Amino acid sequence: MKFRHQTTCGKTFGLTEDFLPEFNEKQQVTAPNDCQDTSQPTHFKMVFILGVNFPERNLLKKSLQTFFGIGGNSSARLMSRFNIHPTCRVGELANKQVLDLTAVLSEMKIENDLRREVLNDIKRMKETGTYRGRRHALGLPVRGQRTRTQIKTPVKLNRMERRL
Amino acid sequence: MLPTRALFGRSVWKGPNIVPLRLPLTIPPPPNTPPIRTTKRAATILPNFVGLRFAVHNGKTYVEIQVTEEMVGRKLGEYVATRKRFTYKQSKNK
Amino acid sequence: MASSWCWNCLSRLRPTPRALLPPSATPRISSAPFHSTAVHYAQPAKKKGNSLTVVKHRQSTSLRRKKKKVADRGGRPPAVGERKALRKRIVLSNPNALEIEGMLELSPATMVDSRLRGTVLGLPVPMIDQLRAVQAFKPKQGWSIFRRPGTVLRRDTIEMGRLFEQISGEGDDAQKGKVVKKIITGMKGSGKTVHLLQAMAMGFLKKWAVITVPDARELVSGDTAYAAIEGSNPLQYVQPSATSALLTRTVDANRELLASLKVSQKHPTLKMLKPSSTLEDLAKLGFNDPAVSWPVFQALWTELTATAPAAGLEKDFKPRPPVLVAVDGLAHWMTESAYRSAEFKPIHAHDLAFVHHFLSLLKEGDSLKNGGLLLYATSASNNPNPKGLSIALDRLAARQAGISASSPEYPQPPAYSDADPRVLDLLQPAEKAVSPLELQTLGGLTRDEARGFMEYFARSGLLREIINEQWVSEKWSLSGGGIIGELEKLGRRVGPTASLSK
Repeated sequence: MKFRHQTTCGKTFGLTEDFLPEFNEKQQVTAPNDCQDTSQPTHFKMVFILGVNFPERNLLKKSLQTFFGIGGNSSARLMSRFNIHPTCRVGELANKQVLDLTAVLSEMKIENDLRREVLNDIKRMKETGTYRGRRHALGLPVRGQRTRTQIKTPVKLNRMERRL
Repeated sequence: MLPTRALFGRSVWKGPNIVPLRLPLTIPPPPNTPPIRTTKRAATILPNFVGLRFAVHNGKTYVEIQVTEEMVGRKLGEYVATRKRFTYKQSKNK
Repeated sequence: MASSWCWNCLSRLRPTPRALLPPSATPRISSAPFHSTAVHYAQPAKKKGNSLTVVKHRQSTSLRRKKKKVADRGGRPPAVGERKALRKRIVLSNPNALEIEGMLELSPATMVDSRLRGTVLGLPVPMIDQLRAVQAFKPKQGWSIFRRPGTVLRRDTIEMGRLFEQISGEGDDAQKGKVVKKIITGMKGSGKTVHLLQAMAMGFLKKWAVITVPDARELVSGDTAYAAIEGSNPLQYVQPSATSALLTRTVDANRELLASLKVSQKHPTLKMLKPSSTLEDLAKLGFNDPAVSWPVFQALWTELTATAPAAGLEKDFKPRPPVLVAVDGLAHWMTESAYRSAEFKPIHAHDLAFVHHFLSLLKEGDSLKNGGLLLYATSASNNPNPKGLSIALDRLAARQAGISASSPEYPQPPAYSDADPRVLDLLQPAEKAVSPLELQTLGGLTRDEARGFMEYFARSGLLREIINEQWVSEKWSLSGGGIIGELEKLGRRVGPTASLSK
């Protein structure tokens, strides 16, 4: 038989008077002093990076990865280039770092520029009549995969104007 | 069919796959230039092929293609399909 | 069967079952004082929802299980930092544990008293805030099961207490101002961190300057900001926020000491420093402005290690006390950190200026000019297993045992193992070292010490056993030869059979 203090005893019964066999540390839960007030404003301070607003508490690494064309590796490289630690939040950035990041990002081929390039490549392949271009246009897998089963993704995505 | 070997990451140190194609020494001037018949589909298109016409084997017949500047670096076989599109034909005797 | 708990307490936990109560008058009106109809005369409540007779649309007649509802906790998710605060919460007192009468406190007299060996000495209450400030307590050390925090006076503790006396200059004068450098290793649960805590407590008792790094991992895990120091070769990196946290810790713990010492050196890099300010003011400069926290720390360090005032600042110069440096989790400083250089190469922990500062103390003998104690503990449970550290420690042990570096018994890294040369080099003996680096391996308690420790549990009311030689010796063996962490588990584990067998 096991005695559960959490459920039955609660805080109302002092354990000091009678000795109880199983000791429960959860009895003395004290609210941590340095805990901040839980009420939070509904909007957060935002930080502009390359014209996009990011909430201050978001991780910078993840925020950079929201740009099309920036993944885990390139965001880590970008951050280390400006000596930003991997778990940096957007709000911790200094103004100069924000400007630096924006300057570098604006010179990279990301977002719509990259999308346009990918679409142009597909278009060129189609126009020169290559097999890959044809497969794109037909909505079939491009890289030699089987088509007997499991081609939902290419059917969904592969077009002349490929979904990106 | 493998669309292009380049996609499988051919090592750089190997360089492009240059297949010795026997180009004719003299090519008659444009209007009645004969296409170069070949079965070497894996041959990389070199810059000096531009403007030539090739008749590339598709497994059954020879299909003519005109090499343009954009095709350089790719393979001859990429431009000639080896399969027919499937079409359903009504058979007469059921 | 004798029960191990008190029925009196149990009986208060639930309402008495109805069957036990004396039968009352017919129909009990229990719930509704507003009308007099007895509850069980009322019409049975109609079942809600669609019963089988009312089928709205075709549905299977097979067993319909209710989907498990995701428990709605209600309310907001925990606030930012709340869960971490709960995780790191340290409870130092348990009002339900018995108070031990006549419990001695750690004091300059008791900490070297070998007659008290094996007893648990309470930490002085005013010091607890200081110990909290330097984060000497760790959340999982079991402080929360006793009435007040206390530590065992074991052999290593008494030896350390004597060391403190010597360095402080009590007794033998030749030892005054000595620097003792130790790396503390030992099995998991052998009390390395608590040994550091005892050192800090002794440092506070002796009015030393206590500087600690409670978790070495925090500096290399890539969780605090870093910046390159321009023009340093090889390139070093400062960690401003970690440094300002260190300054905050140091000031909180040593406020009295730092407030009594005046600035005695010239610090051209710190323009805002007034010449007559105290060391506390100096350290506080680095609190709010992380940009200057590293120069401030360097200035504080030169002040603490100063032996004589600079020209023009002789007014009220007080001799500086010895310094205690305690670092926990040394192994984390022996690998590459999670930080990356601008070229995306991993930064070695030794290239972080903060880490480099503390590690260079191991190498340079004369850096603590007023004497002091360097205690660098490894951790057995949180160990990144850096390449080369174990061999470097083996070498250290071999040198301590008197094996020369040229002898064939001197440990060599295994062939083809990529032992980190920087780690091997760090623990090599320096040419002009004043005091050699020592390796201290903590083992288990002796049986007598273990007995004292278990009696402490019994007197706190946590252990219902008759503590005799045989029982202690059994537990001593069970705990792997008196490993104190295991003993603690045995002491607090009181199953229901514990007293049934009696």
